[in-house]
Amino acid sequence: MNTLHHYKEVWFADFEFNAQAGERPSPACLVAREFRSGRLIRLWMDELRAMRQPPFSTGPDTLFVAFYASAELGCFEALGWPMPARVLDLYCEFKCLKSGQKVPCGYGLIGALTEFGLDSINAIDKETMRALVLRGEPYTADERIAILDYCQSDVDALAKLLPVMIGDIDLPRALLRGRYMTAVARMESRGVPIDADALEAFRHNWQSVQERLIERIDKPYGIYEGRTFKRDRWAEWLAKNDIPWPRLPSGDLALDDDTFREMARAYPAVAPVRELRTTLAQLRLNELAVGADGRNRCMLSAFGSKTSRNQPSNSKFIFGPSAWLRSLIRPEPGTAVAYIDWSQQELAIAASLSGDQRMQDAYQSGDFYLTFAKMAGAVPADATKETHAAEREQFKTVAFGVLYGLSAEGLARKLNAPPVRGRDLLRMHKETFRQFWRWSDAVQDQAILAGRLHTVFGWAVHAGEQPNPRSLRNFPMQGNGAEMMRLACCLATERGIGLCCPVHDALLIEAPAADIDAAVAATQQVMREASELVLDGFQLRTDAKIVTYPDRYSDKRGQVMWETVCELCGRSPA
Amino acid sequence: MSATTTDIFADLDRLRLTTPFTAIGDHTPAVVKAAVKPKAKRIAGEFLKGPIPLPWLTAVTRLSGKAPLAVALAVCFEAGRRKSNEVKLTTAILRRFSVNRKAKYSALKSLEKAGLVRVRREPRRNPVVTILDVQGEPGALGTSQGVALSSVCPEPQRSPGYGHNGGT
Repeated sequence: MNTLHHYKEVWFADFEFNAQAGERPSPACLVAREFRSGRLIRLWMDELRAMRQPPFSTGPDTLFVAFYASAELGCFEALGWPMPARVLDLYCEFKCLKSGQKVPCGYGLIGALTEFGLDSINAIDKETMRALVLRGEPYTADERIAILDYCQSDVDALAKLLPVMIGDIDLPRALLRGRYMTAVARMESRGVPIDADALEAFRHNWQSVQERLIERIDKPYGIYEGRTFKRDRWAEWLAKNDIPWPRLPSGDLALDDDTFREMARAYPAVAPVRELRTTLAQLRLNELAVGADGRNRCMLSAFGSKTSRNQPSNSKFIFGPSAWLRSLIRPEPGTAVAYIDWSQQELAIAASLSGDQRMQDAYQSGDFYLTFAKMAGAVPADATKETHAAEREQFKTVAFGVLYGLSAEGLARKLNAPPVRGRDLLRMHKETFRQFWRWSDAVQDQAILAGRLHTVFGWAVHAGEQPNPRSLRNFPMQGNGAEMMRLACCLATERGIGLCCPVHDALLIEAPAADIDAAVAATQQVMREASELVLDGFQLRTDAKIVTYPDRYSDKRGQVMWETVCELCGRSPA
Repeated sequence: MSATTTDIFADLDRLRLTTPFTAIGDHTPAVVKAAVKPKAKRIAGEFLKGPIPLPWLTAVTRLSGKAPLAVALAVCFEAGRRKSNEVKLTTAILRRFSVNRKAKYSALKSLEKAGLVRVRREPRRNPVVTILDVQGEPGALGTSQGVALSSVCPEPQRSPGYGHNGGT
């Protein structure tokens, strides 16, 4: 526990709150306990709302400890309280300790307590109490006491958990993760501006729109029977069009979305069917979490994936469902939004961490793929995007594919080319970027020998009992990409930039229309700083796309579908 | 020291860890060497420090009776704790390995006869035992025989010799 001696006070805290879909949380109560003195604070909602400050210090000499801190800090936001300067989130740390390993009872508080052999409230009692909190007011006096007692049981659990975990916690970097949870709370509170009228129209007409979509898109294919995708008809269509479709070990056609996505790239005729399937399967419009103020708010599920990337719900988050639905993002009157992404983030991370000078040169040339093709001698030195578009596209597929451990056969399939072409391209990559390959091999060796890998700020992944070499080789790009995104989010929110959400390797911000250029410049600055911090001085470029009211955001992959749906709903796509 | 005097976020560069992913040399073995080991985790309580050369240990197991192996382990334990290949073997330490005084003497004789240890005996004094390697040279344990796991595998962390955490 010596690591905590820097802090005058260590506060465990937990809120119970009610959060309707798309709305900010409404705190019901707060229980907090100081670690050393044992001082206990129990506050009910009316007392909380009357307070302008939390009932304990939030300065840098106080450590705020919570489990899934973004939820507690969301309540801080809702109450207008200042955020704690030092946050230790035992959820993040538990996930970091166990990522990639089997955790029998999950990553929740009960799971963590069980893992460390500590008693916990049983799951059924927890669900009962949660239901009571979610039921909302009015509460009887007994119910209030029961809710406060339940809240206190979680705080007491934290007090038991910290001493057993602290020996395994790398505190400085744990605080960096806690800092990100503060940024998450701010982003979840802000949300993404949505065209609520258009959403309402889609929801109202969705049943008939789906039927008419099938009718229209399926017409040249004839695969659907009512709303059912018929496998045998799909097999017939593939045979008729001479498309070699991947199969499962059982011999059946592989019909997962990854296969559809890959095949749609190689065979454009497959793309509309894929878009239709995704739209029908994923799009549960009623689940998109939009509040009464027309903003999409949902849990960003920070550290949700093994690589520590966010993993928000596909159906609740506006960037989760099909790409066409992103056109629902529309800045409020007088404002603008900007989508700013790191240019080829994963390639840049690979180039920097591997120390491959040629790969770094290719990145810094501004057109990685064409420079790579030139380095490999596949195109002349004066080739341009216009003169050698097809070759550039092939080298782009190779450059990204190798980061995911794509095989020569997989590469050929992606390119709709014979296997020999896949092998040839892979050989060219290996010969051009030798240092990268030595590094990538070393990463895999390290993971297998040591059983774990970690990012530059300490997020670890365990190789597990059956390590997947492709995932392990890809981990440095994903894990460090996530670190970069987290740092950028921290810096952006702390500098007052209106950050709505992160989207994999991009940030969506908003600002008054007159200030959007300055906000974009400030965001690009923090993104540059974040890349330098993660990659020890290596700077990544960023691209920005600004959308000013009354225009709407759009993703070119979903443009046709958006126009089709708008037409079916009798709305203008603009 | 108060947290207010050291702002942990003031210089984020300092928080960056060296990882096996940072720029590396031209040869794979160097890569493995360069892979930075996180700080070794202390083992709670007492433990036997390694590496123990396998030929030495297998030679011990070939001796008749169970006492020679127990005595050999006790010698290794003491050698790690004292950081010396020459240790005084008390009856008290051997009792912890379930070896009585009589068995101690006969086991030491067997070990000595097999050329695995050298024993200096003085009247009314505990014997002083020197660990020999399988060729009968002193001071070889942990260095000349076998392959130290820690030199092959960067993790999990293993102690480089014999010893204890000071909590014994």
